[in-house]
Amino acid sequence: MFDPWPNILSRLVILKMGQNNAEVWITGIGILSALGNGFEENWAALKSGKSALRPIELSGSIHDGKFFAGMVSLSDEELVKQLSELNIRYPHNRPTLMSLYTARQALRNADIEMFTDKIVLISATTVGGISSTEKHFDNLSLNKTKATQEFLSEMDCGSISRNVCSYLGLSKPHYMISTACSSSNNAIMLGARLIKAGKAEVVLAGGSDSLSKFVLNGFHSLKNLDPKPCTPFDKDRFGLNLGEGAAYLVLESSKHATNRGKSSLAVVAGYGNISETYHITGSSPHGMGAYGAMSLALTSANLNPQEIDFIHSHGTSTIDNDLAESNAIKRLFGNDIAFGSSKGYTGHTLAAAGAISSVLSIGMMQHGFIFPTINFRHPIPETGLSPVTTIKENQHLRHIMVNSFGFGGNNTSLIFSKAA
Amino acid sequence: MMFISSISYTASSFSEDKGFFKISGPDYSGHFEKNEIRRLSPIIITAVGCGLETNTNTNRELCGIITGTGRGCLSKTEQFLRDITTYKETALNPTHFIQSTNNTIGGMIALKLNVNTYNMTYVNQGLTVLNVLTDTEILVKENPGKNVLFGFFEENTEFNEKIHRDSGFLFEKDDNKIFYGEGTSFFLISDQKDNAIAMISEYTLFVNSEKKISDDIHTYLTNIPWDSNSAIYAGYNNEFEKHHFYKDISSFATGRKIPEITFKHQTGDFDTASGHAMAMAVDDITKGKYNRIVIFNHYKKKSLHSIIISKP
Repeated sequence: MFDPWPNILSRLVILKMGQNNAEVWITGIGILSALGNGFEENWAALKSGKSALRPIELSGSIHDGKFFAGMVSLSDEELVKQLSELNIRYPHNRPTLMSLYTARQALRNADIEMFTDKIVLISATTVGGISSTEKHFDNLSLNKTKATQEFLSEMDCGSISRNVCSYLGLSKPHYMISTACSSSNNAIMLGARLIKAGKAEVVLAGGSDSLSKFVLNGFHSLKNLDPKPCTPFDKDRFGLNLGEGAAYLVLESSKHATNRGKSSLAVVAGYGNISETYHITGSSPHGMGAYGAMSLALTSANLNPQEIDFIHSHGTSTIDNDLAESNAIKRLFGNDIAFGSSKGYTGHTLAAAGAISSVLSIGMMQHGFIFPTINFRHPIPETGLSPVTTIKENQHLRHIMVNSFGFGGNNTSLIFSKAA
Repeated sequence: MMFISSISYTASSFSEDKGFFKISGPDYSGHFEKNEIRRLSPIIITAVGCGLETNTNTNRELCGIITGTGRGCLSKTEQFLRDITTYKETALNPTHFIQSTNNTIGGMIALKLNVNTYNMTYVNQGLTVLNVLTDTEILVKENPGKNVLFGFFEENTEFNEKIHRDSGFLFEKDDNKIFYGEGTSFFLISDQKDNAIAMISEYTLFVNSEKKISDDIHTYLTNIPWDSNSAIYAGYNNEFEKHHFYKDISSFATGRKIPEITFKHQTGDFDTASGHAMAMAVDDITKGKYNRIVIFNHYKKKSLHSIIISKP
C-alpha cells in the first residue's frame, strides 16, 4: 500500500522568516458572519455556544430552505447604509460590500485612518461576484440596465480588492488571492511574509464570500452538503453547511506599531502552505497535506507540537476533510491535543473561513476561552479523537493554530501567539 | 535577483469568426492521458501543459508554483452557470464546477509533478502579474538555489467579450479597435545564474494619476542605462490608445532612437498580457535581438507598470 509518510518531511519547503527581525503583530480585527456584525456580536454569540445556522434563504433556487447555512443578517441595502460615509456610488456585489464593512472595522480597531499610502490590502475570495452574475446570466441578450452591466463587469475576483482600495483610499498596490477555501489563510500568510521581507509595514488581510446558487449547486453536485446542521469530527458526519461572511485583520510590523504606541492583539508566529498532490478536490484519507501544512507552520514558528494549546481546525464536517485532518492531528500532536471546529456556528464561509477563524482565535487567546464544537457525539473510529465539546474558560492559551484547506490540495496552517 | 532558465508560451491568432484572438498552439496535450483530454477544458490542458513543458529538463528542485489570471477558468464557470439554468439545479456534473476553480491549474501542475510545494494563485485584473512577481521574488529569496515555477493563463469567451464590449472597454474610435485576447505563459526562475537565459531586473508600478504618471515615467526612463541593444515593448492596442498613457514613452523612444515594439497585435488585450510580453521578451533576448527589454503595460487604463527583462 502507498505510504506517503517516509519521504514527506524531506520534501517540504519551509517558508523561512525573512531577514527582517520585526515581529508581525495583529493590531486590528473586523468580522461579519452568521454569528453577528462586528467582533462584539460574534464573540457574544460564540460564548453562548449556540449555532447561527438556519435553513438557507436563496431566492430563486430550488434548494431554498433545504440545506442549513450560515447567513449574514445585513442585506446589501443595509450594508450600503452602514457604509454611508464611504458614499458607495454603484451597485456592488455582496462580497465587495462585506469586505468594505469588515476592512473598515479592522482599520478603526487598529486606530488607522483611511486614505493612506501606508496600507497594503490583501483580499481573498473564491468566486468573486458570481452571486450577482448568476442573477443576470440569463438575460445577456436583453437590453441591460446600468446596474446589470456593473454587476457583470465586476464578476471577477480582482474587482473586490480594487473597489475596497478605492473606497478606503488605499493607494498602495493591492493583492487578490483565490485558492479556494484556503484563500484568506493565504492572504494572512502573504501579509506576514511581505512584512518580514520588508515590502510592507502595515497590511490589511482577509477575505469574503457570499452564498450563491453557483457554489451551493457546486458542493451539492459533489455530494458534500448536509441538509441538517453539520457535525464536525463526528463519526456520522455527512457534509458541510455553507456560510457567508468576511473578516479582515490589520497586520503590522512590531516596529511600526511600537512607534505609534499601538499594542498588539496577537502575534503571527508561523505559517505553512503545501499542495497535497493527492486529488484535485478531495483530501487524502491519511491527511498528508494537513500534516505538511501544520508541520511547516510549527517549523517556521520554531515551536514543538506540545506548545500548541488549541487547533482551530478546518473541520468542515465533510467525510473526507475531517478524516484527513483528524489523522494528521493525531500523527503530529498525539491523542491529547485540544482542537475544535467553528463551522457548526458560522457554516463554511469558503474564502472567508481562514480569516474568520483567525479573528475568533484571537478573541479566544485574549479571553482564555475555548468554544465547544457543537453537534459532536462519537469520535471518528479511525483516530478516536474528540474535539473540545464543553465551554472552557480561564484557559492559558499561548499559541493557537488555525487550519484552512482548499480545492487543488491547497493546505495552509497559521500559528497565532498571545501578545506579550 | 531573479534568473529565468526556461519559458513556454502560447501563440495566438485572430479569429474572424469570434472577433478576438484565440490561442493557436503549441499543442501540449502530450502531457495528458486520453481520458484527461476528453474531460478537461482546453485552457486547463494548455496552461497545465505549458507549465509542465517549462519544468522539463531541469535538475533543480522546485520550491513553489505560483499562477496568475485575471478571469480564471471562464468557460467552465460559464458552463456551470448554464448547467444550473438548463438542468434547473438538478443532476449537475461536478466536473464543470471543479474545473472552474481559479487555483485548479496550479493544483493540477503540482499533482502532475507530484511536488508538495508552496502553491499560490492570484486573480487581480491588471495587477495580477505584479502580484505574482512580488511573491516569486520573496519565495526565491526564502529558498536560495531552488526553482519557482510561475505563470499566467487567460481564456476568452463570447460572454466575456460581451461584458467588455458593453462596459465600454472594447471601444472603437476612428477605426481604432481594441481586440480582446487570451494566452498562457510559464517561467522557471531561481537566484542562480548558471543556465539562465534571461533575468527579471526589476518591476515597477506607477501611481495612478495622469500627471504623476507622466512625471514618474519621465524620471524612470531617464534613469535606465539605455544602449544600442535596448528596446521598449509598449502595450498599447492602437494609435488612439497610444495618445493616452503611452505618449511620454513613445516620444522618449523616438528621441533616443530606441526601438518601440508593440505586442498586442499578436495577442489581443487581456488582464495578464504583460506576463505574455515577458515571455516574448525572454525569447527575443535568447535569440540575441536585444540585451534589455523594458515592457510597459496597463489594463483598462489602470495599473500602469513596467518590467525589465535583461540578458543575464
